[in-house]
Amino acid sequence: MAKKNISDFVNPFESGVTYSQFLEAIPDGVSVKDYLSGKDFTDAEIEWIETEIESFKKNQTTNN
Amino acid sequence: MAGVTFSGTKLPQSELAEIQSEIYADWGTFRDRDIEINENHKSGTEVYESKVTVNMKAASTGEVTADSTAEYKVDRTPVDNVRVMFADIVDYETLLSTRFEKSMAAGAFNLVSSEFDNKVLQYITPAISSQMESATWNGATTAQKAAIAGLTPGAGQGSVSAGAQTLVAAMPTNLFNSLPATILYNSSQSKAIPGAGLGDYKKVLSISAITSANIAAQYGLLFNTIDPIVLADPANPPVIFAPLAHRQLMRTANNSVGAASNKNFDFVDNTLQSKVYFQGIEVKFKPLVGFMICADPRYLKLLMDLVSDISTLQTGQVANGAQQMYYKNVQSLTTWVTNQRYITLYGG
Repeated sequence: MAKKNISDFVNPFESGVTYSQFLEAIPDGVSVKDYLSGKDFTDAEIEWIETEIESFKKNQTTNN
Repeated sequence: MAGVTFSGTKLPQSELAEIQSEIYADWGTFRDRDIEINENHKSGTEVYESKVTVNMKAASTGEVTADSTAEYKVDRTPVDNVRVMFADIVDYETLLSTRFEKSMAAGAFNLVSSEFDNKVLQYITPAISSQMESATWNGATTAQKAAIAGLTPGAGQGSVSAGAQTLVAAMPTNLFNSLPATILYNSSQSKAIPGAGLGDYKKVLSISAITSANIAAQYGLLFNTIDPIVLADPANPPVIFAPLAHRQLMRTANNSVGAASNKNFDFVDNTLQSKVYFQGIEVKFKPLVGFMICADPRYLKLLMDLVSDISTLQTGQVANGAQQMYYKNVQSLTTWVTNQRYITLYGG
């Protein structure tokens, strides 16, 4: 699936946004941390999303 | 001339009379009524929730007409109990040639050891109680685990977090769902989207692994997520249910050495079992793993057939001449939650 343009920023904290949609919005080669840095997020929030994405990927592997 | 000789096996000639028992956390949730316990539900019950919405409008001297905005809603949710039992056969024959043989009555048929009964088997009920306490706060059925794993995760409110799915996957597989598992997924008809699916709980965003260094900040996040309406009801204050280890982390945080110390957690006295409050909310320690719950305790329910079932242990001799004894404890229960939108779940 084609990656979205970086201008289409997806806020993972927005209600209804899934982790699949969030990851899809991140351009190739950009980390979760870099994608969220410089936006209106605290370090703790960015760290949490990073942990969440790790868990999300691990759970997907386990469930599939 | 040879000295003293002894042939044969040497045996220890004294023993401790006491047999040190395991530590059993009794079902404190039941004993202290930390949540709402409802009985007289044999196979299940119907849980009702209501919500009244009224509409303010400009006054009129004319006749009253129907108002399409006003609503008087009652939702009914059928909730099934789960029947569980603890039962086994005790064969005392294994105790022959041990210290317990001395307490068996004379006669080859008699193998029951009163010492074994009094010093070991008396802990069956506390062990049941301990396991039920644990299951109330940690564990999920196979079906519930699959249902929660199947939810689409996201960070925002209205989505389960991936971390919660990981915690549930790691929970013990039990015959009934713990409160966190029920909060995460249930079939209540009173939710914004009624029926089987994600619970209506409020989750704490941006959580961390809790240590003594960040516990105050993490409780702060929990506190700030609580719906202010919950805090405004003086008659029904909410309670924070937290993992057992938080007591130590709170004490350590309160009494940190060297660094500037803020006593964020208010212990009522200096005893180990002292009541503790955070921002005016009592914290109660339960065998939770990873989750914290803040709610009016009335919204967290344990539905049971008969409360005394937990301590009723049927015992007797196995039939047809067997020299064995049995015990059996049967309970019918389930957990349930109401007013879910006012329940805050840390880790959810």
